[in-house]
Amino acid sequence: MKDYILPFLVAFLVCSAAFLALDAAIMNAQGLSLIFSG
Amino acid sequence: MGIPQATRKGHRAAALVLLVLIFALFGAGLSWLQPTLAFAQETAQEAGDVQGVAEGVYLAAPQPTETDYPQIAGVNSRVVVWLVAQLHLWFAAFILAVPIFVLIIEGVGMATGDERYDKMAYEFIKVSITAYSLTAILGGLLIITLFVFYPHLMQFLSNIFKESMFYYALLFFVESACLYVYYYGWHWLQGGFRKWVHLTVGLLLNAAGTTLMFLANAWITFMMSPAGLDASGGFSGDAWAAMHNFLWNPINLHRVIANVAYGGSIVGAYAAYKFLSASSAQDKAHYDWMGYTANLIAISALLPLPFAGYYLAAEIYAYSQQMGITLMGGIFAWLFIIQAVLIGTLFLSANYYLWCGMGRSEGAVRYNKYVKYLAIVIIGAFLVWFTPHTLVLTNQELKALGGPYHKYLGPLGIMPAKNTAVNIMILFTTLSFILYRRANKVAVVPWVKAGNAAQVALFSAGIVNILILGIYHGYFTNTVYKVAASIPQVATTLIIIVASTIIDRFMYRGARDVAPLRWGRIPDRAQYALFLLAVAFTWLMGLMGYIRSGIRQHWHIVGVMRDNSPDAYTPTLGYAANVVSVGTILFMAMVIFVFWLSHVSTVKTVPVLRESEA
Amino acid sequence: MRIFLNVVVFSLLIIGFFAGYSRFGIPQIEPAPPPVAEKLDLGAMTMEEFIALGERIYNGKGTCTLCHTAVGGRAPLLDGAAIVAAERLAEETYKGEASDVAGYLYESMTNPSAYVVAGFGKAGSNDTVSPMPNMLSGSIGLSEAELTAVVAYLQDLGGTEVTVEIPAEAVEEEEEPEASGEPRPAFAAPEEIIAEFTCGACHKIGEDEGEVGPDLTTIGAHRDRDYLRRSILLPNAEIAEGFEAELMPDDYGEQLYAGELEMLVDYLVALK
Repeated sequence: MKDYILPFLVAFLVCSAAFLALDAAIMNAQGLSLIFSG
Repeated sequence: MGIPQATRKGHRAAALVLLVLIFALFGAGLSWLQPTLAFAQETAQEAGDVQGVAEGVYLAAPQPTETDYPQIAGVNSRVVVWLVAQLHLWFAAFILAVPIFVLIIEGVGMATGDERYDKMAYEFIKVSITAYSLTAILGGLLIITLFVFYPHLMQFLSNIFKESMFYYALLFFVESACLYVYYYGWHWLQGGFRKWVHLTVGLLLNAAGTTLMFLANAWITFMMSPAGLDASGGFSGDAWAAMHNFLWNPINLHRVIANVAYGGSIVGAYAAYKFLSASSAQDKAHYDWMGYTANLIAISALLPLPFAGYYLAAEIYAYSQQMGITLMGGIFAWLFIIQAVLIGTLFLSANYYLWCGMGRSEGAVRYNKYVKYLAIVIIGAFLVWFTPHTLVLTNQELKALGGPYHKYLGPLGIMPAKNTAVNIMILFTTLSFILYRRANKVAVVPWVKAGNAAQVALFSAGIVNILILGIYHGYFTNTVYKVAASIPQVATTLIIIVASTIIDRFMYRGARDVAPLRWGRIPDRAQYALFLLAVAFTWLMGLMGYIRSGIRQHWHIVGVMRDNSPDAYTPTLGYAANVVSVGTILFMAMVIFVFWLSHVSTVKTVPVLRESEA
Repeated sequence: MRIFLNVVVFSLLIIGFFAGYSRFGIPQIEPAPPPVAEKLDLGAMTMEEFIALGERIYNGKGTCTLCHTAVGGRAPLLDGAAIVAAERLAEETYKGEASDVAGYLYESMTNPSAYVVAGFGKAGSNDTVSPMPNMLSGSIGLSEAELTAVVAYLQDLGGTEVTVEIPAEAVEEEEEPEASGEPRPAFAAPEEIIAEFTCGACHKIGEDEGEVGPDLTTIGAHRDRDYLRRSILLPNAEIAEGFEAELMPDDYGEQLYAGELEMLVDYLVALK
């Protein structure tokens, strides 16, 4: 089980960070920010 | 083979001459097209320089009155044109799509050297060959009915598109020539160089067919988003501008993808019927495999289709906000609820077929326990998708509900919720497919556990991302953010599909089979999922064809030429659905006829073939 | 044969389900009939009647007075338009192709940017681009004959000689269905109401960039439901800072159904 949990956590963090960066990039490309502002 | 060397050389030379001829024909068509287009641009230029000179040369859009429309007693001209056009489109979509994937399957067969692919590709094209002439007959019938019932419109359109209509006719001959060589030359053009000639003919067949469709698309999108006209609706003389109108490319893209999905589903139904009526285990195995491949083609094209549709709708909005509102927020809004039911049906039946197909493998038991969770999520997403948002209510209903939106269901009806649901539905269908592919395999690479963990992490992080984008941007920001956030949602889905496929490929490299796949071991009810897929696809196409045409409302050419005929009203959805249903039944009857013909021809030709081979 | 029949029955059941769902599962809305195109007999019309037609279009269907009015200061006043036209034609900044007064007036409606009166250009364009739409197209969509009638009216308004001729062909006057006496069908979506009543001509909403009235794109962030409802029904009860009173029509209470009003208020309050 341990050799499953650890890779999962690492991969989950990496994927989350990557998706977050993707969201920010696409929103910025549309002239908006990731966090809503007015 | 016992063919003498000299004859072989002769065959090869004949094939080469054929190839050169086809190329020359195709090239000639293109080179004739070029000067005409240049000429058209030149005249437009001149018209721009010396204004008023071009006036009078080209006719302004005619404005016929109600009595100008020819009527035939007892015939509803709108319904006749509607049905004929829709039948022509169904057949055209089918015969345009089949050569696309036949060429791919033939290429796969050539690359792998597996003769089963070649045999299947031939069987696919055989199914479409009778449909080809039927498409042409229906196309001719469509032109006749259009000219009989809407002569003024057709005169105006053919004046603008005379060049492209001429090349349409020309290309039709090129396509026919390619198709006949491709089909009847299948066994003759086998092996080595000749196979390359055959593939090239297939490529030309597809090029001609797709170009044909693009030409016809230009005419119908011109009616939706006219271009190349001056302010008063007169043609400016620039034929290319009229063709290259605003909605042309969005429709082109959408139709190519939808055609492939549709063609796959029809061939799947054919295979399903053959499977059910097959008596030998060998035939059952063959048709099971054929049905599986057809379903795979249909689903692969179905997955990107919502995105192409989204692009098309966005472009309609960009072209005319009024048309966009009519489409999504006005009288047609309920049509998208029907569409959601149909697409949900497509996804459910495709997934059901995959789950049933896991029975072909001994190793599938490992994954059976997950299927029910997949089913729950897909059905849940489906329910969110067809939750209506804005309802037209009577005052009493309004009071009872406390507003036009339902207190609890209302928030699920808005677009961000639907986008989220569609993305999740697509991801879980991908998951179904991954499980299916793994059913019979055992990965042997040392990093299996880490790889699985990475895949689970990829899916969960992606789904969390899609949910956050949907919930946060959908409910706590403004419209601009809501629309903008749908793009990273789509991007996330596409990245997960691509990334998980890549991981899977590497992880299952050299994987061990649990047991040989047992083609043919699939319950009969799975075949009915294939019928459901084909019927739902046909009906859905009819429905979307109606809205594509219907959003023009009382216009022949939006804003330019008014439809003053007695039939220029927008019918209720129930009425439209009835016409679509009648069309679907007619189409199915004709398809059954086509399949029956191809069956009859096999019975006759197979012994002849055997003789010549022997 | 049994298989064949099974498949046919199965397929017919599916088609029946789809058709039945479309007929009974969702409400059947009878869409509004297309607007009636009524022919006016121009052949029998005198010049006085033609000028009167122009005046009706100017004040009604053409929605000209929404902007060309003394109160808003959005667009130049037109009572002297026919008089100054001759001078405009000679100016360097004139980019059009007209050669006489009538042609200039006609052109100003079909190609408004041909000459932009100083101070009335689109923001940031340095008076080179007019914010006015082409009257032949878009939601206003006047016919050529109707535009000619407006030119006749403007020439008459300026006290100059009316030089245009009554066009020979018939002019189409579109009549909204409600004029027929039957109740109009309800709008299904707030966007439809906004499009129909051309709110965007004055307000910034959706993709429209009207500047006569307050910006509505984030109106829900600082106004509540009751305020918005009152502003639609009684526009002059309270005027937002920096805007003129008496500009917005005050008869929306009569034109909208109660359900539509609530739909519109819900929609506006959600714009944040």
